[in-house]
Amino acid sequence: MWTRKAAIMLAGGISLILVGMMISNFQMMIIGLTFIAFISINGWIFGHSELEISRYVPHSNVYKGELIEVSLTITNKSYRRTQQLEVFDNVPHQMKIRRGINQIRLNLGPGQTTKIDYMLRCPLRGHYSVGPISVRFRNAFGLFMNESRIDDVCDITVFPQVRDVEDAMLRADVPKMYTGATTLRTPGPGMEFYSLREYLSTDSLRSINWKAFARTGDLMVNQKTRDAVTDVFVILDTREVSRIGTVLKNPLEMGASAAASISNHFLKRKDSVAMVTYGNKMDFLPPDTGDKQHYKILSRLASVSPSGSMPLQAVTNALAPRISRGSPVFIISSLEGDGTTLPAIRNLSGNGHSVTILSPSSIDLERLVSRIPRMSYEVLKLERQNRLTAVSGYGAQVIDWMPDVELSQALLQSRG
Amino acid sequence: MLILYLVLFIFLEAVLIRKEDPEEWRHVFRVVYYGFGDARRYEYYQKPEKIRQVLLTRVRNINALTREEFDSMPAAELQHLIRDPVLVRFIFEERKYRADELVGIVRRIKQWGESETGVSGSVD
Repeated sequence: MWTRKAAIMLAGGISLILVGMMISNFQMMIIGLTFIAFISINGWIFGHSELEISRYVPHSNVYKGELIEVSLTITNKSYRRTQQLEVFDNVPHQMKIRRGINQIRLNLGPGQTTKIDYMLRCPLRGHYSVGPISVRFRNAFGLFMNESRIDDVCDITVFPQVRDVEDAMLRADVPKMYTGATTLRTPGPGMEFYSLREYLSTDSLRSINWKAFARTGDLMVNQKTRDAVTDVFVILDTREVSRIGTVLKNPLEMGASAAASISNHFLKRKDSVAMVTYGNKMDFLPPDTGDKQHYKILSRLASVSPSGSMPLQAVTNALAPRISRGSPVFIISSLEGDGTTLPAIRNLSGNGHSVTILSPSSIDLERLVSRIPRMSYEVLKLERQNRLTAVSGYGAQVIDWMPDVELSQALLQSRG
Repeated sequence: MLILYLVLFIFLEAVLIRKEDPEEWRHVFRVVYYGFGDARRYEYYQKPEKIRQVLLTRVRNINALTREEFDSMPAAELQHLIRDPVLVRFIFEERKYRADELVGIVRRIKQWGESETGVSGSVD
């Protein structure tokens, strides 16, 4: 690829030859020819070396706001110099470079290696890719260049922040209903001893009771009592209206963080958590326990984006056969622009579910980015209060979550 | 000769204009994602009809009435529920209100709700 410098030189060379021919000036023609010869020789000796570039990222999953260290190792594998080389690692626009720089200009000798380190901050949740690596060679006089890409892509998932809500939940007197793992008097996976039975080929060796074997002469295994866990349903509103606010403070971002924190809280207590997101369509993650479920929930929350206008009642109707009886339901929604909220909550409460609504105040979030006239703001707030009062009238615990309030603090302010 | 110089000049200018070096690489942190509500609705929320509707919903919610019960309620009973003469006049009088009057009415609605429910308002 020609650079501007080379194009000007060529044009200048041709001009000098033409003018020299017109005025019969041989010196001018020779200078013009020199220019063209210089470009030709440069073009002939232009070429680049064989490079090996590798990227090392220690963690591919991080939480929002955390830092990622990236290392790029560049090695010249050939027996000639690289000439002027520019290496640029393509970093997503949503990530901030906190330390170091993602590009380097170098001239590596044969077999030489260099390394660049930089640190990225991920202020937004989501799935991102670092890479590919762009490489640009320039020859010694900067007349020609060549660009290429090395398809080394590293996928990074930024999970929403997980806040510690345990204390707040305890003080809010909520978890009395969700007592975590409770034992049932039936055999199954659990912690407490239930009975002894004969060894089967499918049993693990760890479950063999060696004392009983010594006593009876038969292989016996310990049976445990099954742990019954509470199914907690977390419903997150990802409709288009949940994008109101700034990039970092909007109902969806607040809701994703709250959903991750609440799920984490209950999973830690060995409860079973189901996650439902609705916006364009409904996504249902069936109830399950453990770290794997925690990872699934975080991954799901990392990918949610605001779109659609699915009504809440459509979600609760679809969920009705899947929600176990009496399971607590957490709805995280600004409750804006949905006329079916009241009947949906009424149906859930009527079916014996304990409903908690965590509602980020979209009016106050909108105020962060838009100049709402004072009078309109007051009336909008009154209308919102009316909505929350009506919802709490159906037996739901309603939490009006202001943008400047931490999640744990907000959970203390339950009303209804 | 002049034409030749002119042609060469245009040729050189064309080369300068047309031929561009590729842009320098640099990382730019850019997030374009600001969500606004419908700004046109702000005006609507300053109209007496909307404020009246918000007040009536507040009265209905605080007194735990269904829509049917509320709609069938006699005017005298509604007046008795509200008790505040300014708010009662606001509900029943169809006239033009000045902006400062509406500000006062909204303030009274907020105070009325607080006194009725005992819940402290979180407005601002």
